[in-house]
Amino acid sequence: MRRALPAAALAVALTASSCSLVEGLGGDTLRILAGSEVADLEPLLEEVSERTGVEVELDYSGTLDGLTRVAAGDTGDYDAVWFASNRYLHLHEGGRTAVHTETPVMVSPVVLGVAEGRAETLGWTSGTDVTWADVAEAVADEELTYGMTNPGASNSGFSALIGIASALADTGVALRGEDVERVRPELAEFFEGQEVTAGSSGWLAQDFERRVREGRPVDGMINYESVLLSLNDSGVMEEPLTLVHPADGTVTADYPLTLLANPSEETLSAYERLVGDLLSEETQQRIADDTWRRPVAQGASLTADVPPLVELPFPAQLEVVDELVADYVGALRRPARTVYVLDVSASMEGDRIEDLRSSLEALTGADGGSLAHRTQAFQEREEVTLLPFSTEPGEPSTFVMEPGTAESAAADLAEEVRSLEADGDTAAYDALREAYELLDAAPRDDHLTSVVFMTDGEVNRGSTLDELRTALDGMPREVAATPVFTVLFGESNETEMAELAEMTGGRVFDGREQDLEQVFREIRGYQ
Amino acid sequence: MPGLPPPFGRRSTWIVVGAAAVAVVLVAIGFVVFTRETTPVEGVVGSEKVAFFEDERVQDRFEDLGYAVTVRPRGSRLLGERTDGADFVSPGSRHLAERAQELNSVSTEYLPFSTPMVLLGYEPVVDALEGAGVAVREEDGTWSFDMSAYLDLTEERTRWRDLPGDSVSSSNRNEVLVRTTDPRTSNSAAMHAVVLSYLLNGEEVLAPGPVDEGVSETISRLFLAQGQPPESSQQPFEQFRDLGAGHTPLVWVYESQYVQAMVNGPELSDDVVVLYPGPTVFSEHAVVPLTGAGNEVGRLLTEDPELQELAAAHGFRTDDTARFGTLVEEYGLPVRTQVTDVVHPPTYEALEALLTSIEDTYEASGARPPVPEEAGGRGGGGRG
Repeated sequence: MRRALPAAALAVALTASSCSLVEGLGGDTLRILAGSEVADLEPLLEEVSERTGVEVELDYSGTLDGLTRVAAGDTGDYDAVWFASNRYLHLHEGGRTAVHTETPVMVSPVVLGVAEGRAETLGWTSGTDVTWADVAEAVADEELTYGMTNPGASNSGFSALIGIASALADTGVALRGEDVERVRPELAEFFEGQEVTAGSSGWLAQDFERRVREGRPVDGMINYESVLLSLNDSGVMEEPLTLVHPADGTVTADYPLTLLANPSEETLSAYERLVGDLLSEETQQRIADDTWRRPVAQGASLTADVPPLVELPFPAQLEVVDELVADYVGALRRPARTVYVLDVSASMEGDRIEDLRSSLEALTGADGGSLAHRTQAFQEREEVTLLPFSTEPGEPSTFVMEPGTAESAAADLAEEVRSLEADGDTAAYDALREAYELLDAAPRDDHLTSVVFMTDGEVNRGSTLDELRTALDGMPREVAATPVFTVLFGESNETEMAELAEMTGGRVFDGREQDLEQVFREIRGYQ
Repeated sequence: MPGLPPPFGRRSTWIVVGAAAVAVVLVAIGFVVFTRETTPVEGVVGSEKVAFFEDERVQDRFEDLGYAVTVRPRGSRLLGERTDGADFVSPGSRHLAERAQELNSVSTEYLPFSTPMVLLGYEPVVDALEGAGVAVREEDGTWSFDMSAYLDLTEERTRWRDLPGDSVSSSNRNEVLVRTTDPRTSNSAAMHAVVLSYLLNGEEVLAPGPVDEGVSETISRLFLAQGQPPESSQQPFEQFRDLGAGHTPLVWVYESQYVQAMVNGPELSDDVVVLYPGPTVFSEHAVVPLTGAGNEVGRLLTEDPELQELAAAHGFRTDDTARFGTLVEEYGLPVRTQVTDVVHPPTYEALEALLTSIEDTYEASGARPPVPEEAGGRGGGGRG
């Protein structure tokens, strides 16, 4: 996922003349671990690079994952991190000492966007005070549905969860553990309305638009104000979203560009030049115009008419936050139902099948590790089906993580994973058809369903992709709309895998260069 | 790099040659001007004064006077300890200076400048507070903030929306609370605790000895209820400046922070109001010398007119009140030239006991330990 932005031509010219007097002007590179949220700044960063001579390299990671690495001092050779918020980092003891300097670059609160017509029916027109409690009421009484990202994977969902819990607790001060306990029933009710989950705020917006286009919309989504404004501005939506800024407050992202501790002088200087440009009135205005985030420097302003920020106090205790997120994934949200369609054909023999076994097994244990890892493990109430295939689809085995017996179900699942053996041809689409049939046979309940599809080579047996498409057309719509998250592995056919993901509203993940376990973990954010 | 024309051809070589020539000349000049040796002096200072000491004008003036001054920030409570070969320490409070004197067996202290603690609020918020009888506009146009009335509001857990009037605060359900820095490390927040403790102690300066549990509990709550503590001493002020009234309605700051922002920028918005807490407390910036060179720095800061002028330019009040008066008049700032309703900080032992009890409450709540002031660089990134 790396993108290197071109450094200034100026820097190149000066370096070429190898003159030490002016070396400080360019040739510097900042390696940044970032949240996917800031990816939309890449074009702007190219220009900033040209002006400052600071080359910027961005690698992306989930927010909690990335910030946990920073707190543990496990940041490799990154010079800086740039996530939507450092709040989670600063709950950790090692959080602040891992950081040299942080500079908020722009802000955007996490708010609710509701399809205009629906908002009008609910009486949520501009100027009316709507609280998070009103939203909860609309979920209960008016069957309001919405999408939100997974708090374990993405900062917008994380901020929303903390904000909603704080607002519903309505103590006027920072959330405490006992408050969460008290408002659990209301929280559970609130999240009954969450029909869509996602691993990133950008993908959530795409999925929202797709559902509208396919005639199976949800009413709204909880996302950054900037994402909602951008979507409205893009012109792809026939019916715009009405932005609801809950009157009781929100949690705001402030996108701090964060220089890690003990920088070299060159790095510090590069950071300062970059920040200097980012905070200049011109760049700030560009940020506002191009990304719809609120600028932090005076002189620049957002053209959209947005209300002043009302910020909910953020908890001071890691424990409060960790437990709330764990409670969300394990009990408050709708449970997931997933079919893992796994290639165990002969080409998987050896390291590949071993890689697959260990990667999946890693999801069966609550390893007591970081919060991100805890949320990525299979959760109570979840339903997981393994459907291995080679020459033909194998016997599916389904594991239900019933509260109380979830641990033994997870152990059984791990056992089953360990017993996977490679042999035979690759009849992938037959197996996918089977997966959809299994989902069709499953009860129509509140589970969020998805398919994970992993193959290491060409489909050389059974149905073709076109035949699969036809088969899906004949299925009930709610089943056929199940997204397939495809995993590229070995010699996967990239084009077909992308087509499959596009056709089903899923997403392609690359397990060829990235660690397979990491890929499976990332997909967990979408389930 | 496709698409980009080569910005320099032969011209770059010319620039390089030119720069080299200039450098040679500069070195030659340096040889003449800087033949006089400067004495290196190192100070351990409260983070609020780093910007002053690192100001090029201050550096240059000290250099002219024969000193190369470097400073490193340290949390106020530890300022007098582990001075590690420093030439002077400069805390932001008299009681800390006394502690530093005691620890280092020094009897000298200089008090080059000071600044009172103030509150900053946004107009609609201040209007609401006026309606509630907490904020009062005085005849000279400046604002007073009744700390006792504020304590009453917090006692009742008043929310912003409960305040009279239809202002921006009417939909804000957060408790009426003053945002401060971290009391476990920062002098500014400790000054807040000084005022609160004076009022809660029956308008008596806290005496040494065990801290009254009720006083300590009330004060601790007012800090903990703010939620996640700020990551640096600058953060509350910067968030107030950048994120507006709904984010940080009221913030506790040094008056010098306000003046410095209005004079040197980035400026605060037009609807920001300065309120003088009644009572308030003065942050008296002291220099406790540990060596002869440190002593000279303290003396010069107090006596050298140019350094005193620069201190005023950073928003500090000096002995010659005219400097500060002229500056605020020039910029038309609504600050008071005379601040009268002032309490004194308790002794080091008494305040330290209170701060320790606050720290214990944080720890018991499960919050992570405070950020050392000297950790890393600044929290605010190049925005002053």
